[in-house]
Amino acid sequence: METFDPVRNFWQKNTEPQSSASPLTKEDVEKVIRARIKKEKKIVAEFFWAALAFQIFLYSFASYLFIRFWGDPLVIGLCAAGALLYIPFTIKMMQKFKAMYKPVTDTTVDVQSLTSKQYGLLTQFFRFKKGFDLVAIPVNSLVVVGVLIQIYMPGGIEANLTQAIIGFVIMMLVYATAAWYENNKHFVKPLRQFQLILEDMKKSD
Amino acid sequence: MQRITEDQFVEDINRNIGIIHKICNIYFIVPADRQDACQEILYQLWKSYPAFKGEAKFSTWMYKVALNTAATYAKRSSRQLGHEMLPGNLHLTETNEQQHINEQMGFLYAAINELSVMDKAITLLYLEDNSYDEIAAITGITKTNVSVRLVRIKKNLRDKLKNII
Repeated sequence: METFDPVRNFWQKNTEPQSSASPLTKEDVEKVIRARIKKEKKIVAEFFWAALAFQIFLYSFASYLFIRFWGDPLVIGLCAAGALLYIPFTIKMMQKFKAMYKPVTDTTVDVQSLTSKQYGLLTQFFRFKKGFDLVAIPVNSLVVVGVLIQIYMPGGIEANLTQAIIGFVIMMLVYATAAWYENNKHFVKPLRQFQLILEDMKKSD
Repeated sequence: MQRITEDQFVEDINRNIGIIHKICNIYFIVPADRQDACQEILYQLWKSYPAFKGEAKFSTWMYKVALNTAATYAKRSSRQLGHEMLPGNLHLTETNEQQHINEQMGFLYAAINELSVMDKAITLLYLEDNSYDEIAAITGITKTNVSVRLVRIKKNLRDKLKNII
């Protein structure tokens, strides 16, 4: 085969013309859109409710301990640190998460630019998430282990420093492992795929 | 989206519905993935439709949104393209001639499927008679790059489809 024309002719003869495939009805389109919106809302809702449930639990626990151990500066300090940490981070996280699901408004841009934009948004969110993890994991571990030892072990942290350190390290490992799995699934793998696509697009020859 | 726009959207999509099917057939081997991708493309088109101002041809705009969605959602599958995975909208009437055409089409899809994400897009746009300028505008790469890539793609496909088509 000397030229590519036979392949192109074969393709054009044996694939459907642009408009001949079974047409969609308004109902078909509405069904797809409704199902897809439901799916998207579910993703956002899952994240939102999980974050909210965790916040409610955290604030309830902190409030209870705050009142119950009023007068113990260490417990009060740890509870306040745990509660305060999450307010700004959660607000920021929700804002960034919402931005990722905004529809494409500038549709005049090409495929390469759109892919770059999506890659940028995901990278930005992941960078923020990593920063959040970096602060939240040790602080969370410190608060949880510190409060539990201070309340339930005789002598508190001062008398059980070794156990407190071991507990802190274990808690950090558990949190870090969970964060690693989450980040790998939702960010690292999709970003790697984006990178491969973008690298391929940028090849000049 | 208001009713009048919704009617217009369905009408515009139906005039170019083949674009969605062909993109899904090229990017997704597994039928279930293909169906999900078609729905995802339709959803992205619907979300982006209010921003379409008619500055470009509707089909050009549709290619951009659909190819971008397909490239983003394309999952690498290790499964080979077999007869059972032929795109569902091919005519599978089992006359000898039709069977032969289906087999040839299977080889063509398999050969295209081995190309990279961007090369698949360029190949489809070329097979669909888009000009180099249009391909460059849709994909965002330069016209020269389109030309260079097409030389390589054509050679690659010619070698793979030797004595088949």
